[in-house]
Amino acid sequence: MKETNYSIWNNFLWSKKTFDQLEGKKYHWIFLGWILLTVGAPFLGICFPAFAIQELTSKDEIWIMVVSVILFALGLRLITTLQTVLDNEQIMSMFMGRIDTAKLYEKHLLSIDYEKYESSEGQEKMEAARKAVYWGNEWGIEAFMLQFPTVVMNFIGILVYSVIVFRIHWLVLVYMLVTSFILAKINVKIETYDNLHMDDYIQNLTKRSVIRADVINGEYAKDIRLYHAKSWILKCLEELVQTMSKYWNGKFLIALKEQSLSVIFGLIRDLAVYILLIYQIGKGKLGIADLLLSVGVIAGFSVWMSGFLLGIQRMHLNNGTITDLRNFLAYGDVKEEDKDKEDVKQPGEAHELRLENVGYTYFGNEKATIRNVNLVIHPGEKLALVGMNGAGKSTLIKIICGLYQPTEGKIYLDGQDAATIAREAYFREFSVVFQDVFAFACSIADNVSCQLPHLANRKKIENCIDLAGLRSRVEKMEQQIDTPVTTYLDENGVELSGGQMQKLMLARALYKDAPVLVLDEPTAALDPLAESQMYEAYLEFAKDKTSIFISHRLSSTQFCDRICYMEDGEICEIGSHEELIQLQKGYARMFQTQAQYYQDDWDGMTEQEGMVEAYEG
Amino acid sequence: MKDKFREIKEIHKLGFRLLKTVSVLDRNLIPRSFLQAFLEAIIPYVTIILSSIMIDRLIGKKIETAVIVAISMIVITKIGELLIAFLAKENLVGKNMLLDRLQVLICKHAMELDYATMQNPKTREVIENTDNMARYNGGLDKIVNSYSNLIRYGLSIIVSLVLVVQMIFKINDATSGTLTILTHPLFTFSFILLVWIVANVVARKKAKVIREMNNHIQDNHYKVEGQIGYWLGKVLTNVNVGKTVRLNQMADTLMHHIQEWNVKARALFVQMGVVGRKTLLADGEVNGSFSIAAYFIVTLKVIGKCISVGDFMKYTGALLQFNAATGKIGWLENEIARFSRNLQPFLDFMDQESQMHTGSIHVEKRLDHEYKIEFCDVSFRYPGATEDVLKNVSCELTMKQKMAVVGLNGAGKTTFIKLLCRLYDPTEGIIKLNGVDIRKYSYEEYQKIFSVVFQDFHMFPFALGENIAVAKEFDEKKTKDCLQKAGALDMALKLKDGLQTNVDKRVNKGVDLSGGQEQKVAIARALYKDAPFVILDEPTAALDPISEADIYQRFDEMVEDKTSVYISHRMSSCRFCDEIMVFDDGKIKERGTHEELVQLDGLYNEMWNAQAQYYVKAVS
Repeated sequence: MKETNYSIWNNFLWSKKTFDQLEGKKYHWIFLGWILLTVGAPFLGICFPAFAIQELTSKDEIWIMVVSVILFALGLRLITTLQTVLDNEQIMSMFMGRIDTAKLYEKHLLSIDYEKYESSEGQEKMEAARKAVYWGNEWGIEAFMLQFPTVVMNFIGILVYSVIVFRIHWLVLVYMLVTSFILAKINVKIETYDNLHMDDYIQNLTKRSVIRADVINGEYAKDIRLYHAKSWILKCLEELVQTMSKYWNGKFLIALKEQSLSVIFGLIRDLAVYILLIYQIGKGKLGIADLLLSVGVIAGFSVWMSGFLLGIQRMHLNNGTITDLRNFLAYGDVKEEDKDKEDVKQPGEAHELRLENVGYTYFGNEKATIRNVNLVIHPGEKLALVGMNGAGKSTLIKIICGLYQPTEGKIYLDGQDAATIAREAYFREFSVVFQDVFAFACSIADNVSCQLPHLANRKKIENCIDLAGLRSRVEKMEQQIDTPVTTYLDENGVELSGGQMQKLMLARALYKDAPVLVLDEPTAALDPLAESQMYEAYLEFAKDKTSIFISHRLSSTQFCDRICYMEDGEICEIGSHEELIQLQKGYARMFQTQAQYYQDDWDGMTEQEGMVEAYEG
Repeated sequence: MKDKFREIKEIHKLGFRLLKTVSVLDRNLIPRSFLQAFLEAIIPYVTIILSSIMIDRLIGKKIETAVIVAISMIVITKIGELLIAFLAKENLVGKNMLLDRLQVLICKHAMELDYATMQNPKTREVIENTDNMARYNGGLDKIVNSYSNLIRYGLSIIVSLVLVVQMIFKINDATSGTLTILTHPLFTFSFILLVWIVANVVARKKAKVIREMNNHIQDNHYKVEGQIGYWLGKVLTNVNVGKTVRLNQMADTLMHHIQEWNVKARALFVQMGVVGRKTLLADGEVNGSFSIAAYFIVTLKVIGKCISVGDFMKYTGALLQFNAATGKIGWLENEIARFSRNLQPFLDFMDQESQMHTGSIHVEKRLDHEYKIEFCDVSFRYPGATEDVLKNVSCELTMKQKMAVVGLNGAGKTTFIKLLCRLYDPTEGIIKLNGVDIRKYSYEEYQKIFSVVFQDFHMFPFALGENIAVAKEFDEKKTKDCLQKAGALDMALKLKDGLQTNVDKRVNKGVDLSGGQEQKVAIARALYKDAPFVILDEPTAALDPISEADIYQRFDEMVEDKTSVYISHRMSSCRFCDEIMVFDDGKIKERGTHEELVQLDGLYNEMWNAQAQYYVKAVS
């Protein structure tokens, strides 16, 4: 995937288009009004004391004095209030824009090509793009868009005030331009500092939260107490806090430098301007009102300058986040990639799966994880996949069910090249239970159906829960199948034990009832009796399906028609249990290692030691 | 009135306790913040007062003095600004660190509390909430800010009040007619008072509505963020969940669920905007009308020549500052009240003390590992549960023998271990170590005699070596030795930073170990502790048959002459243990050697056969 670098203007147009679509065009008017009022209000504010003094020292009639001062004050007040309200509207509308843009990011996370999503490249892109929408008000599309009215407004302010400052003395204008640039330079340093150290800081913050979460985790509390981990963890935490305070210290030290310098520049400027103007008043060249106005304008001018330069700086900084977001949204876009692909020819029927010279190398790896796999799984066949941890079983499963595209060779579903089938259609043919169980913070029913409640078949859900052996647990729940799972989103939610979770996963697979069933270690957390019940349920269910089992409990694999024994990414042995036992190679050794304990004539460690050594050697 | 007074007293009592917590975390923060507040309150008045003097001198054409006044005004304010900048820098660092320092305090306390207390979900909720609240509504720094502001506005009220009173009594005997009445102190006073009261009544009414909305937002904001955080953190960015999402075509379904929460969040954010607008408008109205009145009354005084033209800015400024400060103080009171109340659960948490009684007897250090453990009629019920998990369990762990514990899910095996390690005390009955009730021993020393690998053991986000030694410094040779014994040394040495590799991917560019690797590391940790009792709870669940056999084989070596307990669903483990206890429904149903129990035709036999049948049949 090529990285595109977009210009600020290009990103502005994209963000504007996105916001226009999501939010409507109301914010354009808010921008416009805000710019006018934000330049106008402070100017009127500066004029007010000058005006009042002028009026009060004039020879006007008393009531005119009173009325004009009051009217000016009233007008100023109205405009100022309106400005603050518009300011609030503007900030809120950009904030909403960011929140709504986040939906694009969320949607993409759910559909992005799995392989890319899982890759380190994808994870990096995901994190980078997150900055555009989920890093708070100071970052991303919200901050980026806010800079445009800010820069325009400050620019107008600079133009208007320049004229007035120039009228005081051209040297003053030069002095102010020069000092503003020096201050802005330092200010840029703060942002650069942030850019440099933010990631480290976030890292430390994550570490702090991870530690905190660990410390208050009820399960981990056992280890902390029994291993007396307190002083160790506290020491690490305190070290962490030290590092983190260095970050803030560095950041605010730059800010302090900038501020002190700004105070000193201001001191020189104010002294010069006041003395100059006061002497001019003494000579009668100027009125007092002029002094007040000039002093106000000079103070205001430096605000415009720093606002302008900071705006430009932030624009640059956040431009990168928009680019990252756009690149991420275009990365692994399955809909785009699959738009010309076909449907499955015979959906819902027991399929034949044919793997031809299939190989797979993880992105960035040199060594292939899967090599040269040739395999035909016949319709309705039950196939077991066995091997040691790390032999490549789970990777092969991911290739077969379409989550990974093989880097070599091809897969055919009923003779149809899997690469030509749209992923969504292909996925529909598989029910998979993975090793890592997961329940969403939705109801039991939603977790089984994986559909919205009004689309799901409740009767079927009940039925699947029954078959999975989860009925007795669900019956104990107050809201039955509508009980929420986990307490993340509902404090009345239930937490399921490891065994119950595995049953819930079974119910999910039963509900989907796809023609190909894949099970990756579905019984690890179960006691022997529950385990054997679960096997029976699976067998019953898999009767006329094409199915693939992975299990470390080799007793379960004997039910299968054929067993594939994998070693180091290759299928080394294939055949029925009896055939492989007779072969007396890897599978037989593995089976014997486990089986020996169950033999009546087991005679201690000697035999088994030899077994393990045979593997290690 | 009296109730109100008591309420305020209560609020500040809480507030002061929180301030005390702050000063424990950062001693200098409060005095420095208060000093900053003081300066920030005073400096504007220097400008107000000196610039009015300057204007008067200019009107009086006293140029030299005007210059001197201007110079002193500029120099004083700039020095003040410089001081404030220095203080602000230190205070910002301090405030930004408060939450992190508070977390250290919370973590420390959480680790000191006993296990049972930490099992209470409420306890965890309090800690989570303290963090979230701090993130979205402001943390302890907010209390510091509130009290600093109290000082700032209090001071501002005092100074402005002095100026306002001064102005009220300024009269000019030379005026005549209506102006005499309009500039009379009594008129000035009653006019200001009246407008101030009206403005404040209106302000209070508006403030009440806004406050209620604001409270609602604050109460819900961190919850909403937590919900978004759930979907984003636990679902959308979780690679493992991604498999399920794709295979079950859940994208639309999940988006729908997320959208439901988004709608709630959005509604709340819209409300935030509305509150913002209302606040600003109310502020504009109230301060606006008061400021108009202020300009009116001061203009009259200027016109009546009671005060100079230069005083115009000084006194209008004072009046505006006065009104703003009185308004702000009302808000502060609410803020402190809310905040203190929000943090009340946190204070309660900090007040909690360990329930576990710790005795004073030392646990004798025996090199011969002659420790005898005995359960006498022990029953246990989890707090809040209605049923006993263990029912009248009596048994003795045979010294220096390997004991297997088996049973169905939920039979009480793990609870048995928890009682043994004294994570809980029995509800009934006693557990004895060498004939003495374990509660009479020093709690810490008692736990030192157990090396346990729990089913849900945990590696902390630090270096591998540290995790094994459970300390910042680890003995490299011993660590490697233990890894060797647990069969994980090769794996450890292959990691990019060896023993210094962080074992959490999220932290310091660490790596996540696989389930099997982690299990071995956990065993190494138990070995490093080298305690006389070794307890392994399901240590091979994630392992392939060969690694499992490997662990079985090492088990003998690992426990040497120690007393050990081995819990597993894999019945094979019973073969190499000296004795087996079968748990069923909270009781020890069967006990004996494998050969004895298989003969019994009971639960053990049934479980054994459930697994063994296939292996036996297949081989024979």
